[in-house]
Amino acid sequence: MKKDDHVTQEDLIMAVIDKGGLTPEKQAHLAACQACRSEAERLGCDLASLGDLAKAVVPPMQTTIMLPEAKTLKPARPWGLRLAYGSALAAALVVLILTMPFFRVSPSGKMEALYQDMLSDARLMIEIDRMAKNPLPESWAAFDDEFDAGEDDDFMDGIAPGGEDFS
Amino acid sequence: MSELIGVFREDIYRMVYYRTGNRMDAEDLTQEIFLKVFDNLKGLKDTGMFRPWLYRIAVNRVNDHHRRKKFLSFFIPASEREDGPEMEDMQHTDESVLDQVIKKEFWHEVSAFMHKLSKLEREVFQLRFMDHLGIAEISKVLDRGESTVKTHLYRAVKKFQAEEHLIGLIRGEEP
Repeated sequence: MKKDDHVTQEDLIMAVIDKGGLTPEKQAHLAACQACRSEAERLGCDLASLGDLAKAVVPPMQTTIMLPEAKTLKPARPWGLRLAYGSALAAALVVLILTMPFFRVSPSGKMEALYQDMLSDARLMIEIDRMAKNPLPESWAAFDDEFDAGEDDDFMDGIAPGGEDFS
Repeated sequence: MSELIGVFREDIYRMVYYRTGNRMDAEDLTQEIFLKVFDNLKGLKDTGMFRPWLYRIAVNRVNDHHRRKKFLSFFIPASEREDGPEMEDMQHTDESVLDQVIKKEFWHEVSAFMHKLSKLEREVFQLRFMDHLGIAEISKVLDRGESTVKTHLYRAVKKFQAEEHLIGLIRGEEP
């Protein structure tokens, strides 16, 4: 790079985004050339002002963030206790099923179907309870949402085109 | 947790407002975001990652919100929809009419500019210059490489340079 050559517009943008991304020669030119440095500073200043003005446009928040207090006080149940609860629930279910015939008023096919429904409901409740306590395996504990502005959005654009952000 | 809320509450609310243009939506989504943070905080192994992690949750919640709105727009007639920034939200009582008009015009110009950007350009631009995150943080929030973030940021800034009217407003120049 010659001494009198100024940096390009692309370099000026890069100087604002990531000065370290410029070659040492271009960085040296920016440090020495008042015109180029001013131009880069002006662009940086415009972008900073955009952020400041945007901040001023936002109305003040009028609500307070509410968190479920009960949850903060309640310690997580140890695994042993969870297992004990699950076992107790399963044992109660088995007892209920085994004693059902003694309470049977009329051993008809309808009653049998009812028992099957109850059994199925009880199994479902156990499954729901298990999933509510531990929806993911332990190894996934640190998992958080994937940024999904790609394919899913394209899919949604397909089925629901039209206005979106800043609408 | 209440300390974290105290530190990040305003930042997240503003971040959501920039993307929804609606105070009530921004307040509701901010509440949802902090509930999600509250539920998942134990899973965060590296506390140094908290800020990108928080913004990642926020970006995803906002995207969900836009998807829901898009989906609902199928069933709700346009005349009944509450679309667009609620300018009355911006009218702070202690401001002059001129200030309010300038703010309205500024917001209109910013919205128009944002619509000229691709989704990723818009997201990196907002995260960098409106939410004040660094390149490395944006990279973590969006789960993209730093070079990808820089490339999209470069394109967005190049388009910003072409926005003469918006830049004039920012510099306070007469039209």
